[in-house]
Amino acid sequence: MKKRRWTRIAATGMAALMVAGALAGCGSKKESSAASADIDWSKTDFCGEELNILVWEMYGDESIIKPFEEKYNCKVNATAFDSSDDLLAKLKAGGGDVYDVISPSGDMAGLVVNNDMAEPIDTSHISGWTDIPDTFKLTDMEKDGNIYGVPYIWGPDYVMYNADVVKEPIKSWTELWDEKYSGRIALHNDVSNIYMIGLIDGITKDDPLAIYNMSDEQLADAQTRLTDLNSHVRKYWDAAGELEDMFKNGEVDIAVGWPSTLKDLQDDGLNMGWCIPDEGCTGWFDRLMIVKNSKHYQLATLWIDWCTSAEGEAVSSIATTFSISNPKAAEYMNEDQKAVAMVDDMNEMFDSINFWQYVEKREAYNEVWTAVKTTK
Amino acid sequence: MKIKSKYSPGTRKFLQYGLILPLVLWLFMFLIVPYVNLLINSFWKNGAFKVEHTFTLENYIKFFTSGTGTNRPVMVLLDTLRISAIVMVCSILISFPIAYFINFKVKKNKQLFYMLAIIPLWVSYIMRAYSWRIILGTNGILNSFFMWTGLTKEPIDAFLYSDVSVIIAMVHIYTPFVLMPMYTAMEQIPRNLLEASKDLGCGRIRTFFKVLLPLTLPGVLTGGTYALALSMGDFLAPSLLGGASTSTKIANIAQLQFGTSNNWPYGAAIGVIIFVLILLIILVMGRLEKHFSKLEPGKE
Repeated sequence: MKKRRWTRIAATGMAALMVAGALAGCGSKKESSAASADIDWSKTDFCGEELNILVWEMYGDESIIKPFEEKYNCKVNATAFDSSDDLLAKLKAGGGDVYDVISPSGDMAGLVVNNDMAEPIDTSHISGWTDIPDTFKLTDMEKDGNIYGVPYIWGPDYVMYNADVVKEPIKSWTELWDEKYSGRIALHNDVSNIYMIGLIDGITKDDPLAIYNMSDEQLADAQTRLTDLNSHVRKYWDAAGELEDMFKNGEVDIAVGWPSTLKDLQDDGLNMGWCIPDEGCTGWFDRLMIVKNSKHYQLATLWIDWCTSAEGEAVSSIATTFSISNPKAAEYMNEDQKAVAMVDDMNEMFDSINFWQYVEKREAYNEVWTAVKTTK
Repeated sequence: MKIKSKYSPGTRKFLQYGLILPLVLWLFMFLIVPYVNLLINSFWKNGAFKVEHTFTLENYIKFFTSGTGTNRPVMVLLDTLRISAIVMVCSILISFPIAYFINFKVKKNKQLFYMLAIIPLWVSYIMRAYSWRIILGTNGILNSFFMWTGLTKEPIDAFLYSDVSVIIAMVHIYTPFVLMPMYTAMEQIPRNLLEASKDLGCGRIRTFFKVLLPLTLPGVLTGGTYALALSMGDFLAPSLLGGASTSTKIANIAQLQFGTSNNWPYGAAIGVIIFVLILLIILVMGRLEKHFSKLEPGKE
């Protein structure tokens, strides 16, 4: 009796498996890694293969993922990271077993390449590669003649404010220390606040990259001054969505943030303004890279190809409000979208944005930042 | 009897030990191994991209010597302990009347009332923490209420993104853990002891202090320990509800080491230090609990 029941269960199970196999109709999946030279680049059906991307919050937007999933019959799983250090931590914990594509900013990209955590990219399969200006193809993406990253999207860390309360855009970062903003400020929970002190002090005059390589005295000074600012800051935000909520709930009037948050708040009817203080601001230029030992190398390459193509860049820019690296994307954008992404003001923006770079003393920067947050 | 005849003594012995094997394995896998791993890691050196397996005490030295003033890790630890102690006291003060009420005043449907008291546990942690943002915010329910009644003219900022909001949320979240052992302790007090106390001429207040309270104390201490230990290790409530200088407690610093600060050995060392501290507290509490549960009511 007992035996017969088991046989029946086993039989049903096997039948179910066979049906499932027939439905999928794809046979066994073959994982593609960089090592296999015989990649069939004409392939467009990936039979539901899953691509795992570890990217900044907005880069996993449905509008970017959907067309790709449909074109290649695959599934894209996006995991968000909320600061450069968070990316490193997640990458360190998971690596190529878990993630295929990452979108590090300039402060992490070089580190990832130098520590052999990325796969070389075959740019002949990146259709937008030739359209992307050479000035964007930064040298930290190259090692031993190989290319490890493709410029994707950039944007500023500028000041945004509730224009009903803050009547005039601030001229200098030092205005944040003004009593009138006390308790109404939100800053990013990130070491980039230390760069801000460097900008205020004008240490970038001789060497634009000096803020990424501050001396111990400069760091100590930054710690003191940021600690002073503590009492004026309502909260250090971790995720862009959190900052958005804070503006909506009237918790803050002025913040350092990204254009995407500004756009979302404006769409919700808030009277928002933005400005870049005279000292300039920092910003990021994100690259797309393939994680070392990625199990889906071909799909990862195709993802980068899609994202940096004229159309992909346009879709990404529209979804995130950030700026494009492939100028041809402008053809796919209307005037409003171009204005939001500052496509026509690119040169002007590039003059006032100091793009994040690799910080050699990152640990020291992080310690200063933790000390600031724990000083009462 | 049947079993005895069925198995040889050897097999029986095997069965006896074999049956506790799953438990031993479970404890080994999920308690011993992680803690030993933590302990070992706390003595390694942190390299650029990976942990270097070189013995060092620098993580512990760093914990006790780095920083100045309030940003020294030791001070953060003490600050966290202070917050946790407040949370413990508040949860006890809230739980005691509730446990008393359900045990002695509710005649019917005790279980229902008990369920109502611990129902917050059914809601996810994040949701409970988040809801305090809505209640305590500048335009939140509490501030709107105060302004409506005319008690305050301006919204009070200090409710949210401060130690106040962190404490309120943790008290809310950990009170059920305090209530449960306290309720059980009270439930087990024989009713005739209370009646005897009254018969012998003790008033309500004396009965409370001489009979009820001493007999409930073990439950109070157990519950209090839960609240203290859990809030010591909580990093989510501070980071969601703490302000600029109040969102980084000791657990946050530990968590940072496994995230943004990328220093696993140091994080492990902090973990070991918190663990030892909690262990000491549990030991002391356990002693106290034993002491009080030995006390006979009405004596002294």
